[in-house]
Amino acid sequence: MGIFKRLFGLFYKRRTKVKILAVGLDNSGKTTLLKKLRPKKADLSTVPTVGYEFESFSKNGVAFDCVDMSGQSKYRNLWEHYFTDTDGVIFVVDATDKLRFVVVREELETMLSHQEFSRRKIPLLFFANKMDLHDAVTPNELLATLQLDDLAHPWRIFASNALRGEGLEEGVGWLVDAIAEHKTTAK
Amino acid sequence: MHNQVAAIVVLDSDGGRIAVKYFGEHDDFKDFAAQQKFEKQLSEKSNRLTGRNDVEIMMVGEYLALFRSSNDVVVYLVGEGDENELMLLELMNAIYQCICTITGNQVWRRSLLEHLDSLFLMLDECTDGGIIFGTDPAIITQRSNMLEGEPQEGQPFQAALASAREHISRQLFSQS
Amino acid sequence: MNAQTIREKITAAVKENFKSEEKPFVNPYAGEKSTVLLETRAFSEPHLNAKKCCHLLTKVLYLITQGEKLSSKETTDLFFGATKLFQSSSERLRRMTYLLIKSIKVSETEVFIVTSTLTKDMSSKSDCYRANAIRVLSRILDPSMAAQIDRYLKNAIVDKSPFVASAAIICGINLMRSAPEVVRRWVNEVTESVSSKSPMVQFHALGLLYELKRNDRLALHKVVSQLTKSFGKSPMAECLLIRYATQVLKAERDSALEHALMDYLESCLRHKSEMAMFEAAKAFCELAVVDEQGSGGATVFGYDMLPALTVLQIFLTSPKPVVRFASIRMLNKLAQVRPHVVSRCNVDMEPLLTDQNRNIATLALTTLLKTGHESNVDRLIKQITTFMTEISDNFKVEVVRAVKTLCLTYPSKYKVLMAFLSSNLREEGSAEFKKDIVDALILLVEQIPQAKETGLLHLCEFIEDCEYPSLCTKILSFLGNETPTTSSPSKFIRFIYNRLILENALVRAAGVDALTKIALKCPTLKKDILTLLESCTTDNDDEVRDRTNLYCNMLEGKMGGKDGDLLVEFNGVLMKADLEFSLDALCQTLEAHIAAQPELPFDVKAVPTEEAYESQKAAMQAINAAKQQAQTKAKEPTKAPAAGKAEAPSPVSAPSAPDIAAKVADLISAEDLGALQHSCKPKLATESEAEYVVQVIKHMYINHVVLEFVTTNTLQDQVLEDVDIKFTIGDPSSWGELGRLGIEALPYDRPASAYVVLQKMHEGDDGLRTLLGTFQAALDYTVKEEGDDLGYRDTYPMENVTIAMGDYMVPRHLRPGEFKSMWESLQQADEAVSKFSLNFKTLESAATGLTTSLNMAPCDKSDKVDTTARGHTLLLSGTFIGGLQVLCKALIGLDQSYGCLLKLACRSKNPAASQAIVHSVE
Repeated sequence: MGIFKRLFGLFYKRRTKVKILAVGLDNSGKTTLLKKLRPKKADLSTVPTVGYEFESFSKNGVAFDCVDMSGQSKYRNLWEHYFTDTDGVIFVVDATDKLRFVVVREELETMLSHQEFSRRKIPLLFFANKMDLHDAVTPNELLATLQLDDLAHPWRIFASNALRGEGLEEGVGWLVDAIAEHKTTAK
Repeated sequence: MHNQVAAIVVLDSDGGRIAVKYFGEHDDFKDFAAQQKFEKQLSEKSNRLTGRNDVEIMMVGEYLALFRSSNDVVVYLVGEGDENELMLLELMNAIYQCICTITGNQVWRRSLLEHLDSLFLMLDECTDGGIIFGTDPAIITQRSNMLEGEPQEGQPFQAALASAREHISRQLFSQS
Repeated sequence: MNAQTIREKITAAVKENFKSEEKPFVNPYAGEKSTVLLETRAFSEPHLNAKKCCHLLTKVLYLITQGEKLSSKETTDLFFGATKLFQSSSERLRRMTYLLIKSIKVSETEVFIVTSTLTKDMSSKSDCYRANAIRVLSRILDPSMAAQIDRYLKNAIVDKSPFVASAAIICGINLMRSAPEVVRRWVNEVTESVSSKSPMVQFHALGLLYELKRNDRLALHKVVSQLTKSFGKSPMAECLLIRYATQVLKAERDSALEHALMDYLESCLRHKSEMAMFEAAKAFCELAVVDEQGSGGATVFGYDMLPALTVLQIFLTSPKPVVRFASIRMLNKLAQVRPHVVSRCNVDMEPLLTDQNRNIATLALTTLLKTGHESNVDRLIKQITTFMTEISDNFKVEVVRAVKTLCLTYPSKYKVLMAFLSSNLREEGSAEFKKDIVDALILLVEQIPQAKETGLLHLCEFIEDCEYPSLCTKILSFLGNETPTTSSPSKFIRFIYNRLILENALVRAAGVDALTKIALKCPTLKKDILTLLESCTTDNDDEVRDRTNLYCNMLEGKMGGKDGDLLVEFNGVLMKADLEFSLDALCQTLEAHIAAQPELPFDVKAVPTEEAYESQKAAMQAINAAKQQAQTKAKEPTKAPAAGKAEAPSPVSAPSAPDIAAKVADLISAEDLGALQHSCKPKLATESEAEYVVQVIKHMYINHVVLEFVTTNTLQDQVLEDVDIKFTIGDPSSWGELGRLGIEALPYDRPASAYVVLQKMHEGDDGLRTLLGTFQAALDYTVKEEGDDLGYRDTYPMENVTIAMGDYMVPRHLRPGEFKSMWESLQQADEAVSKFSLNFKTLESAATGLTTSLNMAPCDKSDKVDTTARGHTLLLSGTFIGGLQVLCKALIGLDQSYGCLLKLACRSKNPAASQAIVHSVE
């Protein structure tokens, strides 16, 4: 039994719902990734999200209410409206889109400068997505480029292939653990 | 397509607002103050007409105003000045019929306020941006309750209503 | 139990009863804004309580209903809160959320956040979700989004659920404004929906189809005439189609189409639904207004009005107030153009006079006043009298107007009608209303000889107790003119004299005028009036006293000799309704005269008429305003030259009269130049986007013309120096150049003027000094580009400057109806008439062309040409140079073999001028 399961046994008996926000630049694979996490969903052809979509699924006895935000630049300023009540953030990065790593860093900084992130230590889960493509950078390289080491929040980066679902379980597993931990320390 | 309806206004007998909907870009309704001024005219003019238990009609400024008063409530349907009065009458009758359904034939200010959510939804179903959207009370009631399928054309209203009621109560019971 | 205890018990019971009733009702949805908004935090809770959220949403909607304004931050927070409600699966909550999003004004940059959520709902299995999602989307779609979900919407239009189909069609109607090209691709689906089984879908689809076709005339005709042949339309869709058919009929004169559509309208009069029957009857009435050929007759486009009228007549007796109202309102409108046709319904309209709904009764009344027959005038008037206190002022004015017309139609009924009007003068009413009645009475007195004395007495009674001095003076002046020709003028004198002792100075002065006028015309009364005027010779108001003394002296014949001549002239002036010159202008000219050459005799003839003076003043104001504008424009040097050039040059022009005289003082003395008659409108002599823009203003004097060339340099990097006008006179026997004034330097975008003073070399054949001429002109200047000190000489050609007959004319606008009386007051004997054939292709262009070339003002809306008619009468009015008032009547006709024919008649007090004006058209 993994550590998070035990912790959930302790703290999440009554409250088995977590709220997650999925962000990232456009075409990084958020919607696909979330769809893959839903057990039965098969159709993985996706159109760009305009605004946001709700995705609900449960994993390991935890119910996830996930807000899938649009990554298009004109909608990114809308992310902040969903920070208030979120328990954790999934930040999806297209590991092949090297040109825009700078933009990713900028968006990350903007997000972290929001008062909700300075108030709470919201856990951040990064996915270095599209690992299957040959020009993808490794999580370690990405970590360095994005200077994740400086983060004051609990964070972790995982390599993923959203189309095939590789790396997702591990990442989400960590996130749930981190949320539980955060809740306990907060209490 | 031109709008048929300029406003739907539900006031109490003192001219106080219960629910209103204004459409189009008329200067006469451009802000709250202008609307209040217009409603005051409506209220004053309709008070002078004694007709009860039937839809009455008057001109207020450029607009046609049909209204039906009941107890301490007056329902106004304001149409564009050159609109077909009989077409507006059909919508007016539907609105009033729906209000009766909502309040269980107790058309008082109090019961309307108690069912304000249904009133708002109903008004939203009978027009869309000033265009008449529904004139069949059964369909309007059903749509405001998000019920699937539509009553057949020509099906008597009461029958349709009964089936709608049954549907709602079944839902309520199944939930509890 | 005694009575006492019983009473106590009853009282207690009653009290108890009251208590339960008095228990105050608390509106469950009322709340304070800040509290309610705070409560909406519940939208963010992890476990949504659907019932609670619904309640909160209703509270918010109620807040908005009560006029509470949400700040943009509050709206944003509320909106994003609401977006979280899409997680819930509660149908009721979803429905309320849709409503909220439609009810608050979310900023365009934020509202798109719900697009994906809504598109998801659009592909839901539930019709309600689909329809509602489309209805919300249709409020927030922008053209690019619309193009993206185009396929969804297209399918939705032909959805088997009428709810979804209607929602999608209305979305299309909304999109027609922002993304018509997207909606045009749906034309097949929309056409298919017109024959949907659902009445509402038919209605909406027909509305959208019309929008799609309305700009394509032929396609529209085809669609409309095809649809009129199909069956099974719902009443509301039928109404819409009737409306569209009527619009086509109004716009088009194609006999085959006309026939088909009129057949359709007629068949709709027998429709099974009242709504469609009424719409068809309404269409007939509206077309009756358009179809002038049938005017007065009982047909529309050759179709009998009777069936339509029968429909309306039946509706008049409907038990439903709305139906009666609809019918009487339509008849009322129709009565304005075809009273005779409407009068058939009189029998059924009369009972409506006692209708419970006062609006219906008043409409019936005003209709009957228009269609009324001589025999029931008395009864009608009796009915109205009971009404007058209850109806609004607007309506009262309409009643007065109708009574006036009725009286003119049936002059023998003047007694009862005038009594009605005068009784209303005594009732409460606005000044406007009283003025209308007084005007009506005055008109009736003028038009109906037998009503004169009764009318005058009514007016006299009114001034006995009138709170409006302006009305009093108006009536007094009217009495002064009219009473002398009555059988016994003396009976009115008492009323006028009462004013002298009871009223304020303004009214007293008018009273003195009136009495004097009577005395002048009725020598027998002179002595008595002099006695009455006595009291005012010591009036404490200067004006009244001076007038009285002057009049007394005049009446007593104390003025003789040279003053005697003056008396005759003055007498003439006093007896005339209008002065021939403007008082303000007289004052101004006199001042100028005294300052300049007091030794010379003053010529009253040189003073412009009121109209000429007014138009001069107006022209000057416009000119000065334009100048100022030009100056402010020049103060914005940062403006890009391209942008500056793109704008049409503002009509810059000349300063006021003395300024022009001062400007050209080196060339001609102000004395020789004389008084400025008027300045013509500035005219472009170059293209408006040329490098140098020149506008020519002609300042007209009796013996001279001053040409002002307002020149603007639109090239930023150039300065023009020594700008001169190269000027060539084609006909030196008519025109002589007295001199020119150039411009020293013309920098970028600072307009300046050059002048040429022309002298008329003879009086013209008719002695009017209205010489015509054409002159060649060009700019002659030295160009200096930036950094170039020397520059070079260059010329820039401009269009020929012409002086045409129109330049001697100033348009003079008349009040509606004034033309007729003025035309008749001018002698027909002095009329100049001529016939011409002109080169215009349409009546409209002929009318416009004639108006511009004569430079006169069209009267009584006669510039609006009915394009379908074969002939048109244009009425024109203007002031000719020297202050001569001129009227023209132009009959224009189009003939297949002769083209455009014109018969022009011109009247003025100077036959030579009339002749000249008529011949100028050749």
